Amino acid sequence: MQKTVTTRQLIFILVISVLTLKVLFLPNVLATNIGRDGYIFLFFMLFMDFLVLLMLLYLMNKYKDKTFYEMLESMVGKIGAKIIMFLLFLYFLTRCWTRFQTSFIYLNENLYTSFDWYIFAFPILIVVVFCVMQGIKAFARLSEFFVPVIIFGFLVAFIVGVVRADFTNALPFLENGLNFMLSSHKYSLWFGDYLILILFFGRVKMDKKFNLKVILSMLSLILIIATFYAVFYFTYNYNTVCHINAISDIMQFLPSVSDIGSFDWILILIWDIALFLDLTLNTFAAVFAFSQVFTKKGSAIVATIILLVILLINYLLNFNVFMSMLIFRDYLWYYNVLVQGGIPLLLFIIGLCKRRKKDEVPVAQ
Amino acid sequence: MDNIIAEKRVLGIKKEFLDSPDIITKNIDLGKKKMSIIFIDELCNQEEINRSIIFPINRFIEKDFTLEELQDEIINFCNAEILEEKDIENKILRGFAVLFIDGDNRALGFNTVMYPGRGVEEPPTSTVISGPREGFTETLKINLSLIRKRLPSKNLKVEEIVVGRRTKTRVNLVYFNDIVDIKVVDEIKKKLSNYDIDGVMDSYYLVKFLENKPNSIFRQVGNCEKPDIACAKILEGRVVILVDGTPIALTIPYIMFEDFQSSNDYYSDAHRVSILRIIRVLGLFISIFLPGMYIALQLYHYKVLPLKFLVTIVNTTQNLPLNPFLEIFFIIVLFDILFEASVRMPKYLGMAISIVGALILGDTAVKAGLVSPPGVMIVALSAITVYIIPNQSSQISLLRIVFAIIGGTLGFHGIILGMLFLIVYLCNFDSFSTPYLAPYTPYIKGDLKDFVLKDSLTTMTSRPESIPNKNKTRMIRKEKEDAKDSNN
Repeated sequence: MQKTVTTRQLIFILVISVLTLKVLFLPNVLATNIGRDGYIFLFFMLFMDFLVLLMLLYLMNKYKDKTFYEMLESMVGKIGAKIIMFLLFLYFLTRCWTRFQTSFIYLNENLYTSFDWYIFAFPILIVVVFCVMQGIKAFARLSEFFVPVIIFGFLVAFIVGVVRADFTNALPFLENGLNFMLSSHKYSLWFGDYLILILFFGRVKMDKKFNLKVILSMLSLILIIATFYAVFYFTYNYNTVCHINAISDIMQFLPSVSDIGSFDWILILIWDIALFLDLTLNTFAAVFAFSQVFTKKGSAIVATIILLVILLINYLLNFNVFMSMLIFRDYLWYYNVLVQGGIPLLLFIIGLCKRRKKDEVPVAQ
Repeated sequence: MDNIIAEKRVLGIKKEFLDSPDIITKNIDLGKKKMSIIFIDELCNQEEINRSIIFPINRFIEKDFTLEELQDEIINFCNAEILEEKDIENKILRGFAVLFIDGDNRALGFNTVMYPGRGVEEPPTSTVISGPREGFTETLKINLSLIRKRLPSKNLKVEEIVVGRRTKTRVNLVYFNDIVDIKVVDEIKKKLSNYDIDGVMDSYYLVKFLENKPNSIFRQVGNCEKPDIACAKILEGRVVILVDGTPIALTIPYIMFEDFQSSNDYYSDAHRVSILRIIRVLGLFISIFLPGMYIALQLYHYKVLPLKFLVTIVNTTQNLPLNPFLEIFFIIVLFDILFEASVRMPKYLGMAISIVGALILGDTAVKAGLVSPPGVMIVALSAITVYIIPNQSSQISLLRIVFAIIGGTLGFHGIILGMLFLIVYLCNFDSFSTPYLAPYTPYIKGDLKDFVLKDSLTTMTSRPESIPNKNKTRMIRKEKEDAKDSNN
């Protein structure tokens, strides 16, 4: 397997996967359902995800030259590997669906007064398929090209928020106790981002401090995302529920003069790029999982089929975005939790056991 | 051997050249030895032939000598070589005077080439404020001498390849043997040998042979017209390709950012250069995206415009018969027509065309209410910025139209999608093992010293990593070395 992705590119891809939706619509969802202490919940969920990252990093280091599928084959056999890959395929298919829907809501809310589904869907389908055709190396470079811009845009919004936020709104602390933790499973749709690493097994040129770099950057990201929620809530307090697009709304506070106009639309465009990258990343993962189970040829065809399936689902749901979100929240969370937590944990345990067996060999000898 | 008669051989060759009147033959009878000389009138220096060849020979009447003696003792001409029969025709065509003597089937060739050609001048496309002003010419020998003059090193290797069945164009690959990655040289030779074309008129013919994706609108081979630039590229580990008959040298490998660098940048203050490079990058974005964004703003996203600007646009566009997309498209086409006409017109008419175009057509179109002043300004700005990066002007002009269409049909989202499409395409666009968008992506920290923000020359101690090479060290700071030695 050719090592085509650098450590820096991998970190940027993880940033895209983790950051994009967490600072866009999730703050509004958490503000509506949890409120003031949402940042504690967010921090907790991100930390749970972080444990998944650690497990996957362990496996990545252990099976340096193997792809994810090859690793699965060596752990659970061919049939087991195909079953897991199929589960992952369905998981990434649902993620593609959510990204697709989110993009549509985002554009409809922020950029266009009325936006036709077909005008939106087909150009995006063409560009995503084209990206998949170019391969993971080109996508990693594309991420490297844009993520610095995305991070810069986010930091501007973050700083603007910090300056405007009224931190006394943090009190009363835990006004509703920790009851909100009981409903954490219902937010699984918004998490499980590190599973995207299955694409990069055996493909990363690991630096000397590869693990440290990945872990530190992801920990910083978790802190920043949780703080961003806090800043967002402390800025608007009870009115936060009225602000759907966190990143754009917070930019309204940027000092601007009428001669220049508001800058938030620049951030809207930057986040359009982020959403696209996230969608393409998940399409890549879905194509990868599908290819391992069924056929290894024609990634462009597989990507087209996946995106057409998503369009068909939308068509069957009468393009009702909110209805599809409810289906997700109420029915698909079981499946999400199983795949997000269950599969990495299972593989991690098998990986550990294999290591112990290996360690025992020289003792027996 | 004795029955080989020089005069007959020369006549035979002249016949093979279809008895062209410019094929000159002359028989020299020295009593014991008879000989004949043949050359092409337009390609040779006749005065040199008379002075250095015929005159010395005539002093040896009634003496017998071999071809070797003639070369070494009688004619003291440094560019003389003994030719085998198979090489003779080719040499005559290359401007050699070829001398035959009775009894020998070989011949003696004299390099008396004197092509008509212009002298070394400043190239019109690469004018500079400071730095060398010499430019390449159409003569390969002069171009090579301009490089040799700057790089007097035994490691500078020149390899000659002949391309073109009929033109037999000489192509020289010039590189430093101890710096270049030999795989690049091998790949160039392999690619050039893949094609058997009848004629090569310009280096652009070879560009298409060398590109991985010849149908792409993006350049994959660099070019330059100045020897100082060519030498700098050779020092970075690139291969420079000189083609006889053209002043444009090709450089390989090529990265996109090269076109943002000018030779002036290396003879000016680094801070000033950084500002200029930022302007160039900004210019690229303006030239490609501005017309499309202006259309998208008017059609879909007028809410993002500041109020004062919006009022100005509404006031100037409300009575136009064309919608924003057609208006901008109309101005772009108008501008391109004027540009094409002014380039092709004789120089003295070019100025008149500019006046007609800018003042009469533009002004009248605005006054007639066909187009709006902001529209003209947007397209004019975009058109001017195209030439901030002259080497990419054709691609930028094309992309400008594409993004104008996308902006008109899909708005900002379409422009973003188009940009992503374009950049992912370029991300997968390697030229001779060199990533096209390096050093930005893949990120190469060391090479950023000569990226948008240029660092001082003293910090550039190593060659660019993005260009494959086997000798990384470009500069050693002696102060540091001395300090190390004293510590030891």
